[in-house]
Amino acid sequence: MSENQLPRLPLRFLRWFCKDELIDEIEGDLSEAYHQRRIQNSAKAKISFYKEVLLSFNKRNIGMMEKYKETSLGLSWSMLAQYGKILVRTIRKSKVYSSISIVSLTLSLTCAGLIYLYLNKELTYDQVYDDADNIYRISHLSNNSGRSYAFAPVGLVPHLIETMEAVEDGTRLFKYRRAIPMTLTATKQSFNEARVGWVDPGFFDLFNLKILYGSAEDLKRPYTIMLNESTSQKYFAGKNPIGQTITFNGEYEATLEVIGVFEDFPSNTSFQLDLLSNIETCYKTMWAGGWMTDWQNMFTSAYVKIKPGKSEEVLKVAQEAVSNNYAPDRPKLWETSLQKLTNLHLSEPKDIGEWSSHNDIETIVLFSAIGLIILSLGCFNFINMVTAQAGQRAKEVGVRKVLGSNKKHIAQQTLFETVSFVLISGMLSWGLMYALLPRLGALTSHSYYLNDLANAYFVIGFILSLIIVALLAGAYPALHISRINSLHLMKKNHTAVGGAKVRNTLVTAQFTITSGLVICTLMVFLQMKYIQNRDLGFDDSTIVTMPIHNDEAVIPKINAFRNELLSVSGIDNVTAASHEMLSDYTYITNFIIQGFEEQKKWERYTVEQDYLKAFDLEVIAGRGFDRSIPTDSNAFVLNESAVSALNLTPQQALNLTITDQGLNYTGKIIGVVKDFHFRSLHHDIQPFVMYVNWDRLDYISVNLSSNDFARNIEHLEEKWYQTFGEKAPFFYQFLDQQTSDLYLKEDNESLLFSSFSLLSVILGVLGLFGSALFITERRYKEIGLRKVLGANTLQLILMINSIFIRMIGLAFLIASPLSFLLMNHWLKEFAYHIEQPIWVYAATAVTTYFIASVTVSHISWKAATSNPIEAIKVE
Amino acid sequence: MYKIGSLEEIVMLLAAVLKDDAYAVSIANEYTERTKNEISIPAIHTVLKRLEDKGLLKSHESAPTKERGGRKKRIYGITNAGYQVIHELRHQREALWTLVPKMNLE
Repeated sequence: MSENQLPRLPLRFLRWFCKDELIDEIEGDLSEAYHQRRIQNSAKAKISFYKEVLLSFNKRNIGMMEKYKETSLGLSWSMLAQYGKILVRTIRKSKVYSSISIVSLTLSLTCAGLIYLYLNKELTYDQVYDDADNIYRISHLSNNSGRSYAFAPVGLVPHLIETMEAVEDGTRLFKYRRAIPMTLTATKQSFNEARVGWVDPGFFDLFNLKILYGSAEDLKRPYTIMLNESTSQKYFAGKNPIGQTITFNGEYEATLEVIGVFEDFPSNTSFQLDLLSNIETCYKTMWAGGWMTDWQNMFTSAYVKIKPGKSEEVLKVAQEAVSNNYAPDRPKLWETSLQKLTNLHLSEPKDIGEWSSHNDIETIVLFSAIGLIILSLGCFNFINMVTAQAGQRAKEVGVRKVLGSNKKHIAQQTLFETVSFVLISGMLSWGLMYALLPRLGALTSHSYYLNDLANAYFVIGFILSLIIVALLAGAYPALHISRINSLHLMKKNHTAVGGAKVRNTLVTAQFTITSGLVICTLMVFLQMKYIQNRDLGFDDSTIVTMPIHNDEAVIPKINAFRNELLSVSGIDNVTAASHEMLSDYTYITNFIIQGFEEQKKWERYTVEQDYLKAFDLEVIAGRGFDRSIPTDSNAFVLNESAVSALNLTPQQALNLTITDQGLNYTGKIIGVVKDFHFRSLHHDIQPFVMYVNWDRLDYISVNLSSNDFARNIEHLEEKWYQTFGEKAPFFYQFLDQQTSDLYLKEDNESLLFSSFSLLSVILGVLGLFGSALFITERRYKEIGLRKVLGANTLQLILMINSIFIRMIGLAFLIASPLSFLLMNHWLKEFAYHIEQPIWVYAATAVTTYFIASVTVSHISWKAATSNPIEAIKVE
Repeated sequence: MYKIGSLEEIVMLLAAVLKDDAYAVSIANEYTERTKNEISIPAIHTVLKRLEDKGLLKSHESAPTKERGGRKKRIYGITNAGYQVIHELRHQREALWTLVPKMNLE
């Protein structure tokens, strides 16, 4: 009778839990009884055995805790001290392996950690508020232009709060798209503030930021303003500012009383506002208004807090109110929708009139993938080096075993070393992350604090990932080495420590990732270069734009200003228009063209006659506007795309009558210009109309010809104040500055990509270096023998290199189609993008090949030129 | 004077009877044969350990056997103290029996 006949499961359980001193008696008795019973009824005997094992699982017999305490974790101090000593010796003995593993793990942990911090900010966007999940924005889709606007009539929110119980609170929010100049009454200091919001007092009920001074209730009074902490610090040096007054200049001329201070908006929220003022003050007293009712005034966004589950109901009421009140004769004009606040940043496309930053899920996924990839690259190196190192120590382990160490001790000691390495890397990378926080902040436009690294979640997560890495990297050598027969270890030249396949796979995987990232980085870089150097249709580097802040004070004097400026040498053209060239804020309106039934929804600027000349836009048919021809005061110029949208040649379009329905303004088409980019290169060139209309001018643009920009700006400022006086403060921006702001996100992405791929190249090279070193060391004797038998240095180098070159070739073959697909997808985001050039792939292949062979050759050369006697002598 | 239960008393008696072959399995078998009641090995183990803790039984290991999967036996024997306890119990009972009036079957 053998014990095989005993039910295995309960037997294993018994052996596991039972105290060592009792196992003989209990197992013996139970199995004897089992065999006796089996003779009568084998099934019953089995059941009894299960039952009796369970009955034996009692306090008297259980001893696995003690076993555990005594053996696995039975690390006495003296043992630990000894392990520590061996650890120091190991590090000293194999400095290269040790530093490769620690550096790789530190770098990749740091990178993955930083990516995690960034993603965490992005994924918790707008979630800081208590009721964030119940807050909605009311948006409107125009059935006229087909675009969605982040606006709602100003009457809507008060109407909903008043009539619906489901709407707990709400606020309107208006932000002017240009900065507002302002002066502090007390100190006469002037500032130009872009982040000014006009809101209802209910704002703080929805977005519950801490109020540091004063009370949001006071915002009910007209002509009041609240500052955020940093602005208050900037204006009043941290003193309680309540009761101070601030004067807004320009269009929003008013004196406002400071009634409170609120904490800064966290960096991962949509409203990055510094000043908040009463919205009724704004739209009742300051807007050109009076000509619109509350329901037609649709330039503010609306936010409401809705009781859970009631949003459908609210949407219905809101839609009804808008349909009935905005334009009762066109009830289908606006389609109302509710958008969850927490979805705005990542899931919703950017609406017209929205200024907060948007990101997309794809970027998040991409970054997570890169984080994981980099982390695994580091772990690959770590595992590679630890196993390589373990192989080196096979002999040591053999001696230990012979001297009486058991399996557990060996496993323990190996694991101890792995854990120490992981711990060292963990601490280094934590420090490195802390040091890099400000850099990360600059790249991702978030603020990071020590708390982001020191909070419980992060620390626990970080430690957990360290444990996982330690187990992944440590388990293999710990288990493998401890099991190998000791004689085997001592006798043979430790070839028994396998894992060559694993190691080769890891190196190949690493190089796949590395070459993939290099290809992607080059593509991103080329695309960015392409965008920034693309011909916009005009030269953006010589144009300065100045916002007009006080229409009444400025517009009548524009001609005088122009004449003043034109007398200055170096200033070529002065013109004005309703919009700022290249800004994403455009205006779509309906046009009726003679001979076409269908209305056209096209974008338009109203301009002055010199606009085409100032921007040097090329006229391909007819002529540009001319100040000396009186009829040009209502003449139209179209772009090429508009003409081809009508299926006309530029010549055919001339002299057709065209009407802007919005302003009810009619004139003749006098010219067609070549397509140029009036929006960022993310967008296609759409049909575009320009016509002369002096009523609506918002920006003055000046074309400078001389290179002495600083002197020219001085002239501009001087003439500005001479002409318009102090009421209209002077601000300016170079157009190319504006252009580069448009691509800030891509620029940062490109920078991040470069850092990632540099990092992956470093990790790849480190890994390759380690593996090459390991292989040559293992084949040291073979190399010596080959040399003695007549192989020359070159042959030997080639022999070793070829192992790696094959791996790198394979890696490239896997990486290139994958990166091709990925980049194709990314490039599609741009209306104007490069075709992926083949040379990028070739260059990557050559570069990785070059780097790899330099890395490997360094080692193989050393091996191949060493004295063969030394090699053969090695025992 | 120890107080012991009736199962403990029987196990002690069986250990005394079986002498050099007194271990959990043999005791359980003997118990079943004499009392016609089933008993599990762990129950016997518990009683044996308890009695050993009280000093009424002593034990030693004996050679492993094949049917035990190479595990050693633990043989139990009664100590002097144990003998006195069951002996005392027997006297008490016999004294009580003498006091029981002859049953009148009528």
